[in-house]
Amino acid sequence: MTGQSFLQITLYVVVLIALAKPLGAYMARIYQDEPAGLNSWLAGFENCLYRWSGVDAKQDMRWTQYALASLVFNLLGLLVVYALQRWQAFLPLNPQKLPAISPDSAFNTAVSFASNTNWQGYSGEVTMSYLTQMLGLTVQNFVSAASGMAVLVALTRSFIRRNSNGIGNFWVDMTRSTLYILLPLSLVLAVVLVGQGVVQNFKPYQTVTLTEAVSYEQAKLDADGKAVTDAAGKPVTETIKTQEQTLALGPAASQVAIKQLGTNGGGFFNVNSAHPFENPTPLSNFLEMLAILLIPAALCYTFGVMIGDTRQGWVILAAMTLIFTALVFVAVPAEQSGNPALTALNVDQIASDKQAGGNMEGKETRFGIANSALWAVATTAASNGSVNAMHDSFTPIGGLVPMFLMQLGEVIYGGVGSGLYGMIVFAIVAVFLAGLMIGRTPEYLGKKIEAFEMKMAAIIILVPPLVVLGGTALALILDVGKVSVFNPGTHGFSEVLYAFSSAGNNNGSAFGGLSANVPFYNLMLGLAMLFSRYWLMIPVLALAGSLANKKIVPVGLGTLPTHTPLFAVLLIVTVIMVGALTFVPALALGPIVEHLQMTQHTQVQP
Amino acid sequence: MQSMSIALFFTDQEAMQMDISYLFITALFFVGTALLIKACEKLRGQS
Repeated sequence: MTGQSFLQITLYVVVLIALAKPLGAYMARIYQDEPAGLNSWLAGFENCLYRWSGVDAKQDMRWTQYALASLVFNLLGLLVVYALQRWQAFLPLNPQKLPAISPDSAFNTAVSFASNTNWQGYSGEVTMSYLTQMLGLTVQNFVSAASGMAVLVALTRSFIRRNSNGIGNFWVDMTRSTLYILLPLSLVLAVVLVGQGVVQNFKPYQTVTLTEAVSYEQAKLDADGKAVTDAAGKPVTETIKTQEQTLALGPAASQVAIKQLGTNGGGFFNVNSAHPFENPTPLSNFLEMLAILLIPAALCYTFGVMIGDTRQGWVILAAMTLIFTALVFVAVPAEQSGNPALTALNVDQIASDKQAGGNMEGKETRFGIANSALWAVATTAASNGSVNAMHDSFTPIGGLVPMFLMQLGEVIYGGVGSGLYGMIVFAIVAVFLAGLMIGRTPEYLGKKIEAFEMKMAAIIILVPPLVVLGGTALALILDVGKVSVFNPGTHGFSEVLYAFSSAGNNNGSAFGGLSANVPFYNLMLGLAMLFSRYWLMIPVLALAGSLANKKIVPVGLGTLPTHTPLFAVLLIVTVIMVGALTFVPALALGPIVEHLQMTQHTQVQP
Repeated sequence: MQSMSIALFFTDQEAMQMDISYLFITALFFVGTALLIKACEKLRGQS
């Protein structure tokens, strides 16, 4: 690892932590309905929104009402996105005259954006009209993120309340998250990104003349538009020479801003943040990367402020940051060290003033090793899923890190709201384990942890592994699943495991390589996203309902302190142990075997 | 997939069936999730 890489990573972490406190304090004021500037100026507009939509902002919802409101809202969003995709050929803002999306892909995308996963089986610029991108996908980027934040706020509130049946009002929490947090931050970031060169227009795609002709291979099609195959059944390709290129345009900056801030990740263009119109400069790269983790990190401080003990928030943030930093320092050196098989062939992979060195396959030369690997870790630590390099081309260990981060349950910062509520569940498990070990009554923030809370925590922790491992197993058993794998062997296994880890933890990034835009994967991954989002959200809200109803137990001699470095270590051990025990056997069949094969200079055989 | 481009306008039988299938799966999931809410509430009442 180079000194420059070390400096860039250090700068990133320092700026992130420095911004967590002011933003976290601002968000706490918003949720506690205290004057914070924007909420004073826009209070009239907020009240108008409630009046127009018939919402009683003063209603304190039971957890079941809160959950049903959230479910109905998400279902309606899903249906709107589905309909927009199916009708886009007949709707305005479609200068490329793009046809309707197929039902399976429309289902997958609608679920993906409503559940804040933003897995993309399609190529944005050749599939989605501007209207679908804006009214369907960008709107869901806001409201799906706001839904996650609302659930977190409800859970946080449950620690403060005593003997209460209510956990807050879903519509108010969601409106405030959108109006005062996501919209202003996105507006500022979008304007800065436009300044950096990210496109924002409604123009049709432009065809430009290249300075020199380019040749490329593409599949040969017959008169019916079907791929021509040879006697062995392999596709026949033909060489195309062209001197023209079509440049995709559109309202990208506004979507890119919220895709990062809302931990959504769905790219406007197919190659996501590796596209120069989405991420043109080193500064845009830094800001977009910062935006990925900004709100999830700041919410830890918000949590601390709201429960009246900021030390609790700092401990959780410290645990997240330690795991994140440790894994960055696994991924970056793995990528910087390159491929030993290429070294054996005398390929120069040493970093110098002329090249980034290391494993540059699938990476932008603009970003190099450090910024590509750091992005990969950040995007999978948060449930973001945007990419600026192709994870399929990472070294086995470099690819293992993003996969493992997703498999930890997207709690290392995690999604906006969802990451922290997942981590709070791990904190509850940690105090329960500590209670078992030392004979103390499990308590967390003054609330007794009893059988019901542990049952809910068990559901929350068990659903994602069930979805990920069960889905991967099914895909690899069925022919319809195996036919999409073009890299049979350990790497092909990693591609399928990554896809289900991504969908089954609401991340949305793709390893690549797997042909996932087919009915089988669109359905299976769609179901994975649905279960991992809503079958976690419901138990979290049930947990909130139960905790709000309990009295607050005063701190005593038998109380385990949860604001100490010792508790941060306990929390880290709990998260890592649960993740490792569940997923290391599967990882051993994919990236670990591939790493051993690579280090022995053996070719990975199909 | 061009033949499915006019689905939801109920002029393409195959596309219409696929639309209904996916909407049915979605409805089934959300009904199941509503039942999960009920089950969690029942469990809370028992403890």
